[in-house]
Amino acid sequence: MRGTIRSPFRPSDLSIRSRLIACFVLIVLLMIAADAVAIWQYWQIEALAQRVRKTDQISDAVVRVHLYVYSFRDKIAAVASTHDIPQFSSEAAEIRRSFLEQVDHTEQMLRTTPDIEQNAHLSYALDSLRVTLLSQLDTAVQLATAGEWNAVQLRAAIEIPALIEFSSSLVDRVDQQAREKRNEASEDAQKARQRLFIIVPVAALLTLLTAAALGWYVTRTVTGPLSILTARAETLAHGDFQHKVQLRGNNELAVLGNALNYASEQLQKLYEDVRRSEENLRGVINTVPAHVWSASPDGALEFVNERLLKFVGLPSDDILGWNWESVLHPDDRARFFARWRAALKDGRSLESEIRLRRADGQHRWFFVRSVPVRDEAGNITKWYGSSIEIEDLKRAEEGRERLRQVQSELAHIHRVTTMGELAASIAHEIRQPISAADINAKTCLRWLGREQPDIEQAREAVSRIIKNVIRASDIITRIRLLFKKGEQQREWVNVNDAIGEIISLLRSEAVRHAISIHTVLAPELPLVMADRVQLQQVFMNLILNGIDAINEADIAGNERIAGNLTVKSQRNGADQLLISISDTGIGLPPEQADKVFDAFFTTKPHGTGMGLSISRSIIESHGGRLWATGNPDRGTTFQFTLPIEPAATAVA
Amino acid sequence: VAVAKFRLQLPDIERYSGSPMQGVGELMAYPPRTREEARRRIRQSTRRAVLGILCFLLTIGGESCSRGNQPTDAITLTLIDQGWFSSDYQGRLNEIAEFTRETGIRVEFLPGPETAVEQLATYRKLLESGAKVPDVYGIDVIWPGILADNLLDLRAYIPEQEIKAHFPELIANNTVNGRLVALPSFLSEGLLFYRADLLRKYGYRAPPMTWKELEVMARRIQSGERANGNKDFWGFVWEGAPSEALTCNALEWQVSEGGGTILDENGKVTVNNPQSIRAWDRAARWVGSISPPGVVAFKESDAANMWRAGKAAFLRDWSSGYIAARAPGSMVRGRFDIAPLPRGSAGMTATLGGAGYGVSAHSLHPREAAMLVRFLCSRNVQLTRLRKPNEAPTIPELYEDPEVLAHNPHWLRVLEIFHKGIALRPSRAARKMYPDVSRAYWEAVYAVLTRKKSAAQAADELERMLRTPDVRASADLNKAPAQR
Repeated sequence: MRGTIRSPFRPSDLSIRSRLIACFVLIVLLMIAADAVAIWQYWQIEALAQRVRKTDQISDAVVRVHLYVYSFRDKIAAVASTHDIPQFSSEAAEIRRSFLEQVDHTEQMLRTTPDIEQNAHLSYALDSLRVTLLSQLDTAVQLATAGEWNAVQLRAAIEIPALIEFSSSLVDRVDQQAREKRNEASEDAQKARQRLFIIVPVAALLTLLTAAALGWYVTRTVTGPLSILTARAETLAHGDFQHKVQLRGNNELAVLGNALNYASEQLQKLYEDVRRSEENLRGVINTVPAHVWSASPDGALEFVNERLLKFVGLPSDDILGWNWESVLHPDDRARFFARWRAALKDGRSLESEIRLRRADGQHRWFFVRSVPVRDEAGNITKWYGSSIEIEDLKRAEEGRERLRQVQSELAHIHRVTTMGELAASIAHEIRQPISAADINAKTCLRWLGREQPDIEQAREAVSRIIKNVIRASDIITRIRLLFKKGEQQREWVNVNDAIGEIISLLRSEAVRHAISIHTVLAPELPLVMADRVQLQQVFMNLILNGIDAINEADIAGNERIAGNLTVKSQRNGADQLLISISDTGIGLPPEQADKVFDAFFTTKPHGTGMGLSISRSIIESHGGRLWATGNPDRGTTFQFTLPIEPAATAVA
Repeated sequence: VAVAKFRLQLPDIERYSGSPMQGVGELMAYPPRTREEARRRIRQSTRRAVLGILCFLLTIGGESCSRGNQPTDAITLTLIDQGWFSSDYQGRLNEIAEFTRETGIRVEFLPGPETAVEQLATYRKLLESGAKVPDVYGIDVIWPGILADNLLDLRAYIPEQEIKAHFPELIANNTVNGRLVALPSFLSEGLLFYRADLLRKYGYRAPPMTWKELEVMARRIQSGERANGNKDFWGFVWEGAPSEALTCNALEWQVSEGGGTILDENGKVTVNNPQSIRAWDRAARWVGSISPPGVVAFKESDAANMWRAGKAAFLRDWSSGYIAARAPGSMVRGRFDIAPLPRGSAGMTATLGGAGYGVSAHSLHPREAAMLVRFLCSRNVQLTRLRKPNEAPTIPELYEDPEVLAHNPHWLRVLEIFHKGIALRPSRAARKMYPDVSRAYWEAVYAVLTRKKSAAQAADELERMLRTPDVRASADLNKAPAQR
């Protein structure tokens, strides 16, 4: 806000990283600066010592020059006393050479220490000393050459001492200079040392203080916004989406603040969406025509929809938890609890039918279904359940059951009636084995009545008797079964066997009417789940119906054709058997093809009109279909299907 | 909103961010309205404090930096002079010490080489290379024309009446193109030193008036002394070594015969004339007769040494030599006297010597250097010098002081000679060429003295040499800048 007026630089524009780097760089620079100052002071002390050393060296060199000048006089005097001109000349050349060497050496040293030179003007003095001494030497040589040895001696005695005095004053001056330099240097060194002792701790302290200040400053610029962010995150956690974080600048925390703001906006939107969709869902749940509920893993109810509440007419508190058992029908309670507990324990979904008490006190049947919801680890987190009212279904089922009973009884009556009608044929059928047994018995007696009874033949006869008796007994058992009245008994039935048994019962009847019965039975048909008695009743009805149709044709027609009845069994596709009974009888007018199955419809003068109707209802109760079609040449074919149970396929 | 309002109230202070103190002042002058405001101000102050600490650190460094290069408070001047060969070296040092006491200006004394030629070479090397030191130079009477370009005009620093107190001849000599480049400090001239005792011994009542008389007296005394066992005794010693001293000697012989001063005032070469030739020939006659053959190797001190050692009757020397001769321990003390140099056909003459002080144009402290010059040449200092035997003053007034004369009785004769027959070397006419002219001249004379050339031949060659276009041209050239 104030940035518009303040300087353009703001620390918050820098990222924290940059700030930290800047601080470290600053501290390092300070340390380097402090070290540099310390090193510089140390270097100064060193340089002073160096200068003192140099000064001493120069002082030494000047002393040497002085000593040389001193010895110069003696040399000159000594050589002059010999009056030997060539020796004097060569000696002079030698003196000149070594003197120049000395002076050059000294001057060279002076050139490396300009400050001493500047103060003492030694090189001027040396220059003049050199010029003078050499000129003295030259003069001496000239005098000697001219033979003026006296003049040479006088010069050595009078002029050269002045030279010595001068060089000695030079030494004094250098000495003084050296002394001054040494004092100065030691003073300076002392000062530098003191400075060093002050600068090093002060610089260290300052660096420390600066580091602390910078650390404090940077920490504060970071922790301030951070605490704002923390506070904001806390309010966000409590569901307050309204407040925004205000952080200036361009740093990480400001970016974080913006992200937090954006996240809270998004969260608010998301929250809003969730709330709306939850509302929708609640509406759906409350209006769905079923009771919906959820329960905790321990089976306590947590939620029920309004429809359930409305149904039981209780406030939700009287239903939630384990209170719901009060609305259960007392007869169902124990059963349902057992199943519910088992389901909770095993984690298997539960399906059950129970009665619930309605608000008006009536109990209604419900189909209850409950499924567990598992988390990723497979643990049950919740149970969801729904109950659908099946009262009407229940009622319809009861009605159907009664109808079935009526049908069964009707079939029984019809069966008994039919059996009655067939009494003569059946009796004949029974009589046959009995007659055979009679004959065989007599034969046995004959064999036994011989003088030598043929035991073997007798045994054969007896075994034939036993067979005849068993056959008769079978027939009787079958007849009795047909007479038997009772509940439907579904069992695995071999259709071909059932057909064979019925045909054996009706053979005599067919023979009586000169009709031959053929069977075309497919081998290895799967068993079907059916009521054997009812199924055999259907076979019997259809075969008798065929015999009647053939007889009627005999009566109506003039020529007599051999009557044939063919029973076929076959597999029709994967899931059903097809059984057909074809006759060569009177046939069926096409418009009557379906009418024949109506109750009390008959074309026969003494028929009840119930046989085909019962047969159709039996087949349909077994899940099959029964219909009639006219044969192309003559007669009619009745066919029906029976479903094959998937499990039965294996049983042959 | 609160911050915005606050900002409206303090727009100016917000804009300034000066010293740390300003930040504190701001904090105190305007109590913060909000915590944020206070925090912001502390932040500003912190920023300034950090800057302040940095400045402090830098200042420590800077201060110790500057401490190393501090110039010394006192000004130190450097003086270069003839040094230990001047007759009163210690006296000169005392004078300098006195100057330092009076002014607080330190003076380093730098002795120059012995001979004038060597001194001049050194001076020229220093001055022409623009050396900052020395500040003050001892200027020989023949050098103003040579060194004028690199010396300051002292009239800007020294009161007119102090200048006027000196001999006008000397002031004129030291003035080049209207600029006073040196202030005279002492006076010197050629004199004849003679052994009064020996003259008396051999019946002479007065020193020789003419060169002829000198020759006669010298020869007589020489042979007499030698006969008395003083085997290496000579009649007359002088400075015959090829040097400036020979120029001075030869000029005296020549001018006293009327042979001119080599160049006239306009720079015209006058040397090749019969008078000069006669004078040179006469001197050549002396070598090996009344003067030792080695006299051609004698510099000033050799001649003086010999005479003072009692090995000669007559000596040509500078007036300043009187002091050494009269010094305690001198063999000739109380046995000698001085006289004007003998006359020739044109009369008596003496070469002017002496010196003064000038200030380098390159000096860093010209005002202080001029103060030193003024001090060294002042009446008081000259007077102080005169409390004991010393060189002749350049201030005429001092020659009338009885106390001074008591210490230096010979000065009246020096003054007389100065007024009567002083010969100036042609340094003003030759200007920078003077050393070359002088060298050519003494070499010519030396060749005559050593019998390498006849006087006529040497004079002829010298004239031709001095007239070469080179010499003329450079002489003219040297004049040119000064005329501007």
